[in-house]
Amino acid sequence: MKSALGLSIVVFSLAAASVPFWGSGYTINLLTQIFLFGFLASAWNFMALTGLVSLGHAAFFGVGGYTAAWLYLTWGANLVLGALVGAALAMFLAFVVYWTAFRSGLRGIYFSGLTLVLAEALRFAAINTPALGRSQGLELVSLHLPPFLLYGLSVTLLVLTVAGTLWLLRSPLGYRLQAVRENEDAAEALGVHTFRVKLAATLLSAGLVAIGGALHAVLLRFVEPESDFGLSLSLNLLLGTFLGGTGTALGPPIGIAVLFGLREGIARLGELFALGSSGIYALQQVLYGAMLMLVVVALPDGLVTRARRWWIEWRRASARPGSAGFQAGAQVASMAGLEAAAPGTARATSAVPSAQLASDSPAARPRAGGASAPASAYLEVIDVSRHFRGLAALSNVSFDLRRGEILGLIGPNGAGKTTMFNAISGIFPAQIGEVRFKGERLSGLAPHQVCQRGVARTFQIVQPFAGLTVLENALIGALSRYARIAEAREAALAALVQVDLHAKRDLPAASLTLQDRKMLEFARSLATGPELILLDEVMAGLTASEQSQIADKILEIRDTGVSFLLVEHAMRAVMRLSDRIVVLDHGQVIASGLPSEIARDPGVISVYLGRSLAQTPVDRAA
Amino acid sequence: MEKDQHSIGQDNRRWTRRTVLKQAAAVAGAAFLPRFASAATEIPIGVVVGLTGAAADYGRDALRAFELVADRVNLSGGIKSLGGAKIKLLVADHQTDLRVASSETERLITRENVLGILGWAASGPARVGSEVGERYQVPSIDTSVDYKLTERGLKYFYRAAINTRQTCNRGVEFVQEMEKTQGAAVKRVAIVHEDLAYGTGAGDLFKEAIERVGRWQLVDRVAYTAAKLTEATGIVNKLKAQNVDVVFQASYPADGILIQRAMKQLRLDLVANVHPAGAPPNLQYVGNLKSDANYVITTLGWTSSMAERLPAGAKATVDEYTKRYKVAVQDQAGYSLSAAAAMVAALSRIKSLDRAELWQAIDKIDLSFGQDPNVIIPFGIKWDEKHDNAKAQAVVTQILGQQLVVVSPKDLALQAPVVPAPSWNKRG
Amino acid sequence: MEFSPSVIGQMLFTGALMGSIYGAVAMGFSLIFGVAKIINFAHAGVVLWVMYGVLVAVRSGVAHPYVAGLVAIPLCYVIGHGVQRTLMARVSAMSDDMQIIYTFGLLLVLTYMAQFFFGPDVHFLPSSGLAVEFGGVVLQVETIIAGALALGSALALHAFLSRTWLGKAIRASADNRRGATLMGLDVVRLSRVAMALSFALAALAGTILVTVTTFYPLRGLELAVLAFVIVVLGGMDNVFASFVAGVLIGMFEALGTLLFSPSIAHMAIYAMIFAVLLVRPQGLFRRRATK
Repeated sequence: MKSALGLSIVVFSLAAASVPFWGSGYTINLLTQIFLFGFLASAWNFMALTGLVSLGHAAFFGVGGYTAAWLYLTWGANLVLGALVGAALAMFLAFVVYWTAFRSGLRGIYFSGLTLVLAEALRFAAINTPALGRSQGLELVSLHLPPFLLYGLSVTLLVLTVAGTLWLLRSPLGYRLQAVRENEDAAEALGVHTFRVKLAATLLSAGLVAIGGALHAVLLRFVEPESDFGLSLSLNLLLGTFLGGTGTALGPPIGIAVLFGLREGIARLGELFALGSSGIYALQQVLYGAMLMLVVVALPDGLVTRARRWWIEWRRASARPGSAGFQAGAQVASMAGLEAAAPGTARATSAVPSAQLASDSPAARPRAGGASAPASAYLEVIDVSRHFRGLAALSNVSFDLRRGEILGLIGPNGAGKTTMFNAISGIFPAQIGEVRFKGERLSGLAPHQVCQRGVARTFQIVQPFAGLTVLENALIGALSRYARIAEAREAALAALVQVDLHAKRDLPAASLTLQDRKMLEFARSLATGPELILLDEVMAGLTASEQSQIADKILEIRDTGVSFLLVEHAMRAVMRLSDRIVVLDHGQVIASGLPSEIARDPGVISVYLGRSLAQTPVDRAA
Repeated sequence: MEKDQHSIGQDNRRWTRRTVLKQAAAVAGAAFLPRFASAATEIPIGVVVGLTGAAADYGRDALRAFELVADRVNLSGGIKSLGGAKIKLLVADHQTDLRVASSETERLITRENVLGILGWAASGPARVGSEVGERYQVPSIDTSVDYKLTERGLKYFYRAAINTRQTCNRGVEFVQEMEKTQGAAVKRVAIVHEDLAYGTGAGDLFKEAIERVGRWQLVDRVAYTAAKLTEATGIVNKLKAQNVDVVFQASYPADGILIQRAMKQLRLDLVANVHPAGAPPNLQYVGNLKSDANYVITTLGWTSSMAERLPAGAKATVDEYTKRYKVAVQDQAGYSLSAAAAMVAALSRIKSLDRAELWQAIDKIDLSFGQDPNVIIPFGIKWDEKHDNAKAQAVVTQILGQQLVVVSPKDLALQAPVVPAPSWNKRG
Repeated sequence: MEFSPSVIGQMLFTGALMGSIYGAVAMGFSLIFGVAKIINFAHAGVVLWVMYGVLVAVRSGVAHPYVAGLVAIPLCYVIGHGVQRTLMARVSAMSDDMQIIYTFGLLLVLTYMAQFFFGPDVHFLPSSGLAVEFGGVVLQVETIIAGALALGSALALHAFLSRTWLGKAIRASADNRRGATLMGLDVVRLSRVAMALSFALAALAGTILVTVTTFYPLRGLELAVLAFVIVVLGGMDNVFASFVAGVLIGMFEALGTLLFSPSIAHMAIYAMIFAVLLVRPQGLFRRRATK
């Protein structure tokens, strides 16, 4: 697969290089435009990888074009220099805007809205700035460059960006981007510095689009507000990328090519019937609009993703019946999400891990210094309070957890258990009081920082990265401590072995059963190499036998030196697993102690447990 | 000015005899030439206009005019100097999109090997397309009006249409004339323009011209966004607060209508409201405003109400156009007829299908009003050093009785101008 | 420039009235986002079609614009119901970018169908010429009626959403789809009601726009952007806030026009929305989400 992609890039480059020898000026002009827009869409795609939808990339496009043109006309600056300055300016603008936007938690459609008004504000700024020629724009009249130079530039940029995307998708940053796109909270909890990852992707995207803007300015020798800052540019990039397949390397340029072809085809169709009648033109646009709607309905993941799926199904159908099944399914999964992941996955699969690998594996080994830390100062929760709009979710909660311990945190619905988890893991930090781990303050740290300090968590509602494979899910966690993919993959595989998911490593996460998904959550947090895992209702929704399997797993992992803080409704399991139990009610600790003590505590029974617990056999405490 | 008009008068007198002879010769030629000779070659001429998109009206009118002239030539035996070769128009639609304008122009040049180009009938595409023509050294004759097009020192680009510099300057001049002849008191003037290329350019030109006049006070320059204008009392309120006497305005129809309506609503009485073409000549302007459009002044290069005063041959062309397409000859069509006439005249002087030869022939074009029946804009075509049409002169029209009526120059005028315009309260 | 009371009064009244009309355009967009989670750019296309419908009725002498509007509103309600059953049935489950492309495609279809049937020409209904004058402020009667209808519909909608059972159910499903389903509300049916209401609002917006402004097919695209930015400013799913944001933008535009120029006012409006979003990422009037 890898070689096929590499080969097709080489073939494409060679074919593209031959065009100037046989193509007419028109061919070169049109191809330059298509390649330039393919490049722009690829650059847009970098941002789309994070799941953010920009409606205002024209802002960066225009900044690039205008900067290059203005510098050239005013100071006679070299155009390459102008393009680079434009890119730098665009990245600076992107940094200021996105830094603020991500800090304030702007998401979804509001993010799209922000980008749209940014581009529009800049368009009107250009319209009202005499030095930029207002709507008359700036024209690079004296500029004469041979067309094949621009053509060559656009081909080079396109090939470099596509190759760069392929590389990126296999890089740690690429995996993190995927994780952010699938589920930002879960990614953050797995040690992904989502803020930095998003910023990196958007800055890269903005800079590249600005370079494209400069090239466009040189191609038309003209910049003006509407064609440089207008909404139609941003929309075309969105359409092209979506049509080809967001998040794939080849999708954006292919989508753009199809879009150009579609427009051209519809125009030619119009000419066949009646040239120049405005009625026909209107119908062409109607057809175009209807096509867009159809594409969304028929090809929701884009052409490239769909084509791959067909190809794989065709191969499976034509292969011998015995060898089908698993592997093909695995490829479907990794193709859909990460086309480039396949070679790596295949390599890892061949190294069959032994039991020894599992026990010696990095995943099972707590971070350095764990053993020497004093037992009393492991996790300390000191007088933590948290209010939401006047309602006290937690008030003066204090407890501690000793090294190697399994601490149960129980209480009725709304008692503040999940809020407590959020306070520890940094999602909603405590307003008063503090949380310490191994003597170090966790309060004030972002979730990914908490994770990097050895405290992992799972979510009550399982949140696997559905588009990724099981292995890739675990890989995201492992990347929090290994910079190199190979090492991270080892750790991820080891974590999968620990939870018995190794055999399903290449399946898409979306295809797992609920129990397996819970196990995957578990594996992901294990892959971060935690010393303490916060488990949020990991038993919920499972059958009794599944619950006991998970309980066994927890005990097994505890024996490797990992501590647990457990929020659980399944009482039987809590009683069996926990060394000690803390009971919360209305945000306050109402009891704590050994399971057997809690089970007999009259206050706890009246508030929460009722009679049923007294009848529950407390095997562990007994 | 005086001298020009004199020479035009002479042309007018000479016109009838020459044309009759010429047409007789053409008919005779067509009758006696062997059939195969006329089918011998075709002369590929590119037409790049916007048939779709924002400037589609202009593109449609331009194409109609080009086709009319080409058909006339072909029916009367083609281009004589080239052995009766027929003109073949190769039409491309630039969709009023800069990128398409660039690639389509290049397509006609490199794929269809056109000899010359008629186009682009929209300023933005003309900017980009003319650069492509320049690169391939293909001569082009354009019908867009943006004054900037010819300020770039291009060698192969010519413009037959009257440009905004000419119409804006004429508008300012006309108000000066009115000060003298009608005793209109003008002190405070304002510029109102839409904020795209057309309006912004006109705003700049008005500003220069007003500053040259010197004695008027330019109190405001209001740029607005046509596509976003829902209502215009805000703009007019501002003008009223500044007691303006004259408004120089560059608008498209939709926004021009709103501004005019707001002027009526807020009773903004002006000495004159002057437009460089733009909204008022558009049929939709008077069609929607009815009598509220009266007294608006427009400077332009062509309007169909001039037809009555045209030389007979030119009048016949206008009639033919109207009959064939069932619409009046609007300004863009007028420029385009003349641009096509210039192209045909140049083709008639070349010996071979050679771009350089055509370029030289175009460069030497000097057609006077009445000399060629296809030249319907006053007063002919001849290039100045910037390749603008030096013979084109802006006429001043005023909407009177819901008609666009020529009020200046004298030899084309149908009525005397009404300046200052009567106050809104007296208009009933 | 003299800022006499009449000049300032004219500015304030014009701004508020035009702003109300903008708000009317945005409310339906906001409602359907709130309830059905659909980013419906095609909303502006519906407004456009109502404008043409009213125009045809008036030009052919069938009805006065307001009478035509009275017919259009229930008609659009029914059509909206049908559209949510068919064209929009699957849209709410789509991702943001899919929705944007889908509804933008629909907007293109609606806009250019209008161009096909009615041509690219500018249309304008002759105004009554009646005006209300006080203290030097002149207001066209149509503009006043338009503003009043917009305000009235905003208040009525607000009352409907906060007082009636159906309104509360719609709001509940907007706040929490899952919760509403659990409570036994038929979210799908509520989405249909919301789409129908949003179509009815589009009919109202179209009717009042047609009496005050010029229009042509491409106006649809411009209105879509207008509605979108207003709603983003107000907070996507708060209908009344969208109306207030519309008024705010109208006032801002009027002030910017008086002080500078409409073109600069637009730059300022976008810059303002930009700044607001950075400071209040959920829109101007929306409380921060809590967990």
